[in-house]
Amino acid sequence: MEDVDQRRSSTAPRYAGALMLAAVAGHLLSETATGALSTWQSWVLYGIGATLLVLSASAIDRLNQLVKRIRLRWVVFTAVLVVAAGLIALAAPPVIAYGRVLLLGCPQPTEVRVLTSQDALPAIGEVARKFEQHTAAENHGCRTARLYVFSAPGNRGAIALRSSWSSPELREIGPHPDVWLPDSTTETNEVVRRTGGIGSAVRITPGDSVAFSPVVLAVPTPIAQDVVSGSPETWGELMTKVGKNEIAIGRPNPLMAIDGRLATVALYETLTPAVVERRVTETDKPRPNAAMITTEQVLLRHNRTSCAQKPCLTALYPSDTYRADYPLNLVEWDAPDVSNFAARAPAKAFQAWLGTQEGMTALNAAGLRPARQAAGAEFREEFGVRAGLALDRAEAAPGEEAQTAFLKKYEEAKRDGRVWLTLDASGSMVEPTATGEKRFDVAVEGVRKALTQMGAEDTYGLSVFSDNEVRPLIPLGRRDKEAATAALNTVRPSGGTPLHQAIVDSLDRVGANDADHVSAVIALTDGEDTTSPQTRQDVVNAVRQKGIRVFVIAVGEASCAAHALTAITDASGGECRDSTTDTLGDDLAALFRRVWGGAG
Amino acid sequence: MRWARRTWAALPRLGPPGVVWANRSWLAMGVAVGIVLTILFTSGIQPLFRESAEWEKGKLVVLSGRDQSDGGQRRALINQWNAEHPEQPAEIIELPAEADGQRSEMVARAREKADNADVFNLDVTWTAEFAQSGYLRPLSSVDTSGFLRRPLESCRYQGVLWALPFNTDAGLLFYRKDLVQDEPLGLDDIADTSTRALRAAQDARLTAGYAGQLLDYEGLTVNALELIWAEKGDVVDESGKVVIDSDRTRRALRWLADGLKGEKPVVLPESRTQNEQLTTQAFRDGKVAFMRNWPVAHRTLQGNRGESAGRPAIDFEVAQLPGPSVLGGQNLAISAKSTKPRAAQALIEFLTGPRSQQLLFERGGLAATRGIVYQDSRVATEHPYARTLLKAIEDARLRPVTPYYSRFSDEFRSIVRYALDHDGALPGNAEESLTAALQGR
Repeated sequence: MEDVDQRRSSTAPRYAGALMLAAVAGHLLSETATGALSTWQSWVLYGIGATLLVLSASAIDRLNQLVKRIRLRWVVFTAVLVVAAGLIALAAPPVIAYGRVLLLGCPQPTEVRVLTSQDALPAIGEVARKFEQHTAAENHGCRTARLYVFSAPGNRGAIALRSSWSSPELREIGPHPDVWLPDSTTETNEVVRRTGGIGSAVRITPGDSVAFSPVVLAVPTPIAQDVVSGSPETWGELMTKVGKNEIAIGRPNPLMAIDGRLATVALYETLTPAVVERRVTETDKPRPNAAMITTEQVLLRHNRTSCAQKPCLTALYPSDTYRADYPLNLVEWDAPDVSNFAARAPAKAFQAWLGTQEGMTALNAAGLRPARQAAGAEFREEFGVRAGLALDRAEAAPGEEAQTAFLKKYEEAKRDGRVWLTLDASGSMVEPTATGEKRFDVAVEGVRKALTQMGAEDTYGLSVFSDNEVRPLIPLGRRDKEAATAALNTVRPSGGTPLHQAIVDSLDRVGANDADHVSAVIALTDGEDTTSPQTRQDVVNAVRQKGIRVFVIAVGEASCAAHALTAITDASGGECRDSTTDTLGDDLAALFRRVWGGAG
Repeated sequence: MRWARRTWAALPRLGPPGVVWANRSWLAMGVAVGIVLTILFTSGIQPLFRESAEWEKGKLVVLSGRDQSDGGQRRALINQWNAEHPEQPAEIIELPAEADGQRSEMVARAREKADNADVFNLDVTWTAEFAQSGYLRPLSSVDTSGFLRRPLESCRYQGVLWALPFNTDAGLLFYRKDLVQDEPLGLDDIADTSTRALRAAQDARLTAGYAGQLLDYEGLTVNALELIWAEKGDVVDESGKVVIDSDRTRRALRWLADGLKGEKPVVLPESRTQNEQLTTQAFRDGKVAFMRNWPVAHRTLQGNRGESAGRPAIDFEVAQLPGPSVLGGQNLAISAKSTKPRAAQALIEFLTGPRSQQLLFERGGLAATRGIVYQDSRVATEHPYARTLLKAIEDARLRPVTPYYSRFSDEFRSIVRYALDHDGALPGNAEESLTAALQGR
């Protein structure tokens, strides 16, 4: 009996050792085959691990001797094994993770895509950087998440989510978002309802507001000093007072931007809609010597970053104002190739962090107001804002019924659109696109599509420009949609590009804004000006003097930035858009929709 | 020979007993069966275990940023491939124009389990990250002769070839011929010529000497690296060590910081808010005598000249930068999850082949990654900067190769911004923070 035991004690460890060596060899083979051991550091790590394992085989021999002296040794042995396994299971992952970081550097952070509005982009970007640093603090200095924060103009983000992020949207707006942080909860509701059904590729979990920012009337500081009084005043009262100063009051399009809509809803309560619509001009960024309806955080950022003499703008807080309330919604994609499953945990962590003290401080520093924290040091008069607020309304935005009623009122009150369209018919417009069509033909097709956006009272006129002349094709006031295509089909593009001349000519033809009409000029060009007598400055002066919005669509060789076309469009609150022949039709349609004020 | 004879003699005993000749025929039959089995095995069964050389069938998905070539030349090439290979049609999924947005979508898709992409079109700075994360399949048996050395280098990480160069790019120095007589040799030369031109006040539009992209995005990283290299300084050396703390680096940053100041500054102050397009605009408006930009600006500046009715344009010339340029461009790599790696490899070899490269450059303006294209006379007439560009690409340098490039770039930019606000001085922890960033911290 003694003999047998002796033999067993001497062979068992040998078997154990051999077994472990075999396991190591097998594992080594599989690791090498999958390419996990690609650097010398990983080989060193592996070597250390394997040596420990094999050494443990000889330790078993000693243990075996020891164990024999214990009563109930199997029970004890099992208990020890369980405890050891538990300890290893607990301690191994962090130890291994730390070892990997030391030897191999940080693992790549998980990619989280955050969609927000253009207004909130800079603030949310700052907050996101702080969250990344926060994740590093608990992970050996390695960030576990990288937040790519991007924005879509107006309500295009909401539209893209509703249509499950189609491929043009992937190209034009950005990657599939994992987090959607719009300006207002009212934007969320509709999208959540539309995407909630069975068969929808996207699931949106609506979340709470992370912070808010009241909609304010931003006025140049000297004027604010005249206007401001000690008692609370409504939107209507402030608007009337500021209006006496003969300055333009800019408002973002209420169909596309939430701040413009919230302010207009409040304005309609105290003023006649038609009066409001004749008093405001459309704009989407602060301009010198003009007031603007915007959110407090936009004004604060403007004063902090792009303003020489602080503060450029002062916020007037109407007592009946609504607010942007920035809800954080989690977005989940069901299609297996774009689900980005890994992002779900860090997205939730980001949401939770925004509710912590650290997160709220970050929001505060970025110019937003978290509901459960007092306004921080950023909110001071030097930047044109006030720390303490006295707002009458409990709700952030009007209810859905009120909004529907508002849209109806707006449709009736807004001025009719009067558009002069001028098309480039220079030689380069006959160049073929990728699909083989001529650029000019693509443009004509785009015009045809765009004209379907015309509202009941809207009108248009049309001209083409080439060589050194501008040729009117359709006089202003037409509502016939087919006339444009018919007239354009007779045009044979050739010669130079008198773009400046065409814009100045269009300004004359379309006429200034009046009580019942809002005018706009849309120019489509594929190159910079070559043959006009007018310089760019001449055009800028003319546009500024007439105050008519000018929109330019640049295709082909033309570029908004490189050819300074934005200088012209910025003079009047218009817009220059770089387009491609693929998106030309959609871009034109979107512009017409905007100037004619149809539904976004 | 004895063993043979013995075996022969023993043979009759091997079959069923008694039937001597039949034994021999049994043997013959055995041999015949053996031969048939061998043939079957080698031609029928063995190929099942050997990797086939045939292209897999099915759609090839290419993830790529928006096609920014003139006239959609990339798509034209894909159409051509599809016409020639109807069984392996390729489809481009176009991602946003912004590089960070492209990266974000590609990384997210690469992490999926599903086979959702066959080919990635990667920015040159992403090779290391994608290779280290295991998103790419290494390329084997590819003929890499004929590619320019630098672009090909950007396709390798830790000695392995992960991609093939699709198009390349290098920064050029644009200068106005009416104000600058000789190609400038160094930063001081640029400063001197600028000061002279500004003093002479030949041109009322001229407000500064030099413009670059100093807005806070990748452009600032590129511009700062190039200026540091022009002064023979460096940020990260060949071995991956951070060497930013040197007199030469400081001198370059001081040149930039000092240049931005003054009534008639050497460096256009608006540069700090400008990207490539806005710099081009400043140059064409006559505000500066020198501009650092990518060759695409040449086409913008030249564009529409054919239509012009004799109005004076800016008369300009291009030269190499005073130091090496940063290498730009994109590389095509195969996704590790692709179930069609051979077809995908054939596709990227087609897209990076001499004929495709010629078309992309000649018609689309995307700088070719093969040297032979630059010798073509049509390319030279279409793109007069081709020769200079080729030299710039040959002299170009890669940005630091690290899987954490975007971290590095962020950190480096914050150092450069600090230096610009503090007369070219480096922040105290510049070296540590860059070293940490190179490790992803």
